Amino acid sequence: MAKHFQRTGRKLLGIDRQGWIKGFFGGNATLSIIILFLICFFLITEAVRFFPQHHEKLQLHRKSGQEYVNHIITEMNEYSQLVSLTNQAYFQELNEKYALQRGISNSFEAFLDPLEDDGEDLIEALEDAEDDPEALAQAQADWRAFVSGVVEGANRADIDSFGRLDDASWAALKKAMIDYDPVEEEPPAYVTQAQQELRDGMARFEEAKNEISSAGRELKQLRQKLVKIASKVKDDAAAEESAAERKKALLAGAETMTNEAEKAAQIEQANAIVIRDEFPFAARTEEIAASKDAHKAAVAELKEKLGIAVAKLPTELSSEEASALLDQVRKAHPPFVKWLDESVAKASTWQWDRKLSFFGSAMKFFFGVDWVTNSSWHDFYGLLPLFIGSFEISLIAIMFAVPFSIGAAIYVNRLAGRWEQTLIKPAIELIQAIPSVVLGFFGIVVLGEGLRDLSQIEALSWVPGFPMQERLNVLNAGLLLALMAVPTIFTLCEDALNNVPRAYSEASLALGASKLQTVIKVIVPTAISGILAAVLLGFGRVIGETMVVLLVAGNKIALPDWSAGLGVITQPTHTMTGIIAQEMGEVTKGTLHFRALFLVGLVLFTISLCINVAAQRIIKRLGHA
Amino acid sequence: MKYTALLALGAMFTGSAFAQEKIVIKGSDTLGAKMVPQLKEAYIAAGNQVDFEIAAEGSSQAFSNLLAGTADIGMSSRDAKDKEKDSFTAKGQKLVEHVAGWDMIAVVTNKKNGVRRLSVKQIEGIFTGDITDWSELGGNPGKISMYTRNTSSGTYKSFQKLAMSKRDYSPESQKLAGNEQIATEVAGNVNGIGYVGLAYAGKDGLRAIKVEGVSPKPKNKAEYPLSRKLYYYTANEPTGASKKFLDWAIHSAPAKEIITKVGFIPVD
Repeated sequence: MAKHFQRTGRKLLGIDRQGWIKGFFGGNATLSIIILFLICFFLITEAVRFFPQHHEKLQLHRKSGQEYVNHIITEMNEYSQLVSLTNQAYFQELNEKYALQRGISNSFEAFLDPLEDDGEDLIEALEDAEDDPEALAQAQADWRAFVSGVVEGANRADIDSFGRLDDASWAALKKAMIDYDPVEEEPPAYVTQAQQELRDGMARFEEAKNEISSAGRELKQLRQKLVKIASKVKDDAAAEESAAERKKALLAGAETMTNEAEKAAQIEQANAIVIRDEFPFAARTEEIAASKDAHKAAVAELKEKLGIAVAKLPTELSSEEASALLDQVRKAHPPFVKWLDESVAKASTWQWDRKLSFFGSAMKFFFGVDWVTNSSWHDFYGLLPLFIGSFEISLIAIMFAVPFSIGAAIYVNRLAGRWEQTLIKPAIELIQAIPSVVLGFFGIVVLGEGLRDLSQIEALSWVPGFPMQERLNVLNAGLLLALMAVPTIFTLCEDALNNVPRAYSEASLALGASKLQTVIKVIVPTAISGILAAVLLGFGRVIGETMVVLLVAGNKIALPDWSAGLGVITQPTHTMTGIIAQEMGEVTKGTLHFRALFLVGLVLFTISLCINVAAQRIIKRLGHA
Repeated sequence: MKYTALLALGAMFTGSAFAQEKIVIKGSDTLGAKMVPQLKEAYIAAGNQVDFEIAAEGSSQAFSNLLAGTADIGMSSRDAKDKEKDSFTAKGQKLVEHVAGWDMIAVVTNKKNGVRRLSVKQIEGIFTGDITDWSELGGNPGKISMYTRNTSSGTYKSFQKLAMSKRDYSPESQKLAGNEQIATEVAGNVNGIGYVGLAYAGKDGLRAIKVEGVSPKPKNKAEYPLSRKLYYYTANEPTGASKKFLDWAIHSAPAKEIITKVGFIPVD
C-alpha cells in the first residue's frame, strides 16, 4: 500500500501527478467562484440599468400629461366604489322586500334562453307571417305548442335559480309564458306587473341610487377625453424617440442593397424621417393643462350631486345587510369628499416640464403599489405587492414548518428508538425528492379543494378568513412551502443537536434529570444557534421557491385587503419569484419590463444573501465551543 | 426587430428549371402567430410548391407593406381605416378585403350562479373593478372573483379592446396561465367569472354568459359583441399563387379545421 504514497518520478510539463490532482480540484473551485461572480455581474448590470430607463418612462408619463389624467382615473375608481356599495345595498333591499317580484322577472328571463335558442325557426316564421293572417295563425299555434312544451319540461331549480318563487307564482308564471310575444319581445302582463310593483316600491331608493351613479358623469366624460389625448401624445413621443434609430437602420440597410431602385427608395424613405430635437410636449399637452378648470368644475359637481343624493338615501330599510351597506356609504362619504379635494389640489400642481427626482422614481419601484404590464395606458412597476406576497407566504410556511421540523428533529435525535430513527429520518428527507411542480399540482387539485371544502363547515367559521372563496391563496401556498421547508430545517436542526457534546447530556442525566428535562433545559439551549440558523435557511429556501407559488398563490397583484384582519391569509396574492417566471417569457431583451424583472431577481438574491450571512453569523456568535 | 422569414420546403427544388413562386404575407400577429404559419405548413404538405415569407408585426404593417408592394397578402385583426383605403386609391389601386375568420371570446360564470346575461358595460365594470359584487348584477350577494389570462396572452389584449374600452384590468384580477385553468377555477367557484376561447366555454359547471342578449355561438359571430373579424387584404383582386392560397385558406375543409384548432371560427 505504501507505494501509493510514494512520489513518482514521472512529470508532465514540469508538474508531477500530485500537482495535477491538486490543480484539478483547485481549478474547479476557482471556476465555480468565477461563474458565480459572472452571474452576479450580469444580474447587477441588467438590473441597475432599470433605474435610468424607468426614470425616463416616468418623465414621459409626466410630460405626456398621463400623470395628470391618472389623478382623474384614481378619483373615478374611488368614486365607483361608493357607487358599487350603494348598488349592493339597493339590490339587497330589493331581494329582501321584493324577492317574489324579482324571482318572476329573473325566471322570465331564464325562460327566454331555451325559447330564443331552440325556437329560432318558429320566431322567424312568426315574423315572416305578419301580413298573412292564415300563416300567422298557424305560426302562433306552433309557437304556443312549443312554448308550453318548453315550460312544462323546464327544471324549476334551473329557471328560478335563486329559489325566490313560491309554488303559486311558479304556476302562474308558467301559465303566463304563453302570452310572451317573441317578435316584439314584449313580456307577458304577469311579468310586467311584477316588474312594475318592484319599480314602484323601490322608486325612492332607486332615484337616490341613480343620482349617485350619475353624479360623476362629467368627470367620467373628462376622463375619457383626456385619456385619449394623453395616450396619443405618449405614443407619438415614443415613436419620435425611435425615429433617429429607424433612420439609421434604413440607411444602413440601403448600403447592403444591390438593386439600385430599391436602394434609392429606401434612402428616400430614410430622408423623409424628420428628427426634431424636442418633441413639442408643451403644445401637445396644452389641452390637458387647460382642462384643470374643467376638472375642478367636474369634481365640484360630483361633490354637490353626491351630497344631495347621499342625503336622499333611505334610512328605514327592511334588509339588515342593506342598512349596513348604506351606513358604510354614509361613513365613507365625508372622507371621500375630503380626499377628492386633496387629489384635485395635487393634480393642479402638475406641469409637463416639472423636474422629476431620480431618487423619487427609484422609490416608485420599491414602494409602488401597482404592477401593471402590457397596458394600453401606462406600465407601472411597483415591487411592494409582490414583496408582501412573497413575505406573507414565507412567513406562513415557516410558522407551520418550524414546530414540526424542530419537534421531529428533537424526537429523532434524542427520544426515538433505533428503528424509529431509521424510519423517520429518511422519510422526512424523502420529501425533498418531490419535484415542486408535482407539489403545486397537488396544491391545486387536492389541498386547495380540500381547504375550501373544510372552510365551508359552519362550525369553523370563527377561523379568520373562513369560509374561503378562492382555493388558490396564501394559505394553500404557505402550507405546501412548509412541507418543502421541513426537510431543510429538520436536517440542519438534527445536525445541530448532534453537535451537542455527549458529556452535557450524560452529566445532566447523572444529576438525576429526566430525559425530557435534559432535552429542554440542556440540549436545546446549547444547540439554539444551530436551530435558529436552520430556521433562517429554511426561510431562504421558501422565499426563493417558484413553481409552487406560481401555480397555487392565485396571482393577484394587489396589496392585501387588511380590513379582513387575519383573513388576509385566504386571499390570493402574487410573488417576486412568480412574476419573474410568469412574465420572463414575453419580454424582449433590453426593454424596461425585462430589466424590471431582473431587478426583482436582484432583490430576491439580496434577500437570500442576507439570510445566509445572518445564519452564518448566528452560528459564529452564539455557537458553542 | 421581430422579423421571421420562413423558408418553405421549396429550397429543395432549387435545382429545377423554373423558379418557385413566392407569397409574402405580412401584418397582424393575432393571425401570424399560429393560424397562418399552420395554414402554410398544411398548404405545402398538400403538395403546393410555393415559397412563403411570413412576418407578423402588427395589423398596420399589412397596409404599409401592401402599398409599398413588399407584401402580396396583408393580415389584419381590424378592418382598414378610411385613410388607409384612400392611400391605395391615390395610387390607382384598390384594397380588397377577404374575411379570414372570426375571433370570439366567451365570458363564463359558474353554472350555480344565476346571472345569465350581462351587457358590455357591465363586463367592463366587472373587469375594471367598478362592480365588485354579484348583487349589483342581479345575482345573490357575493364578492366577484375574476380570472383573466396573463399579460403575454393575445386574448388579454383583445378582451381589453373589445370589452373594457382599453381600460386597465382591476388589480383584483387573478392572472392564470391558460383557458383550461380559468375554466377550472370558474367551475369551482360560485362567484367566479372569467373569459375563455369558445372551445372551452362548454366545460362542465360553466355557463357562457349572453352578452347584450347574444350567446357566444359560432352562428352568432356577427352579432356577438366580443367577436371580431380577422382579415386578409390584397392590393387589387388577388391573382396566381396568392389567389389559389387565399381560396384554399378561407374555404377548404382542412384549412377550416386548422382555423378551428387554433381557436378561431371559420367564415362559413
